[in-house]
Amino acid sequence: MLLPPARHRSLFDVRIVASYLAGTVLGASATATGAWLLSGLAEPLPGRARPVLFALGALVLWLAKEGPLARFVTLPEARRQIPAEVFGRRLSRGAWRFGLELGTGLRTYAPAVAPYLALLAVLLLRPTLGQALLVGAGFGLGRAVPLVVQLAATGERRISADVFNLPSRVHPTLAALLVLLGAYCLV
Amino acid sequence: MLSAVSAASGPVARSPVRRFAWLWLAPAALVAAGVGAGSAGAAAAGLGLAAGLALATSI
Repeated sequence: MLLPPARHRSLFDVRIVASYLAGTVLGASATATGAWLLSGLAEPLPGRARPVLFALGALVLWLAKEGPLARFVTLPEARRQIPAEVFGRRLSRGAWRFGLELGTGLRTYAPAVAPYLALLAVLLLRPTLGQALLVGAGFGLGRAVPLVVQLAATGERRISADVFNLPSRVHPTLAALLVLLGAYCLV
Repeated sequence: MLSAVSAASGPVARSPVRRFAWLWLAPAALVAAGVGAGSAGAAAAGLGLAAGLALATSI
């Protein structure tokens, strides 16, 4: 556990969270940059075709993750946890490496459809590099929010991810809608 | 009896569940800024934040 429950937080706890946050943002930015480079392959596509292809792809991703195709189609994800060896001996450095691995989104489970939609947006809609990096930075920040809140919520017991969740049906839909709306601003 | 059961089930956050659900306003506001003001940068940050938050809270 990166941040055990405690009544008072120390500077060391802040350093742990800062290292983790730096790792998630850097990892996510690396993935976003890689996706942006690959988006060059979409260059031959006509400009008007890209939003249509994105919409179709988003629909397939949604059906494969949340809909009836989920029983037949498995979206690519690393079905394993990040090994404990990542932490090594120093917790702050381990937090950075752990955040880096999580931030890339490539080394652990991905039970939500929204990250796939975000990746598809960068690949197909061909944002600028700056916009792609903002997608990555936002992803990394979002990935780190539970731990940041854990740091700020002194005196609380361990914060479950449930406290961030809207009703179970709303949560994945809202996240996906926000990604879709944001993606169309990149067109 | 209810208090005994809740005590036995272990400590939970003092406030009601979904106390931090308001954090979803952040990506929503960024995306809204992107849509309303035509800021592609805000929209990009907002969609990334929504995706990251979705993944962080679904595991």
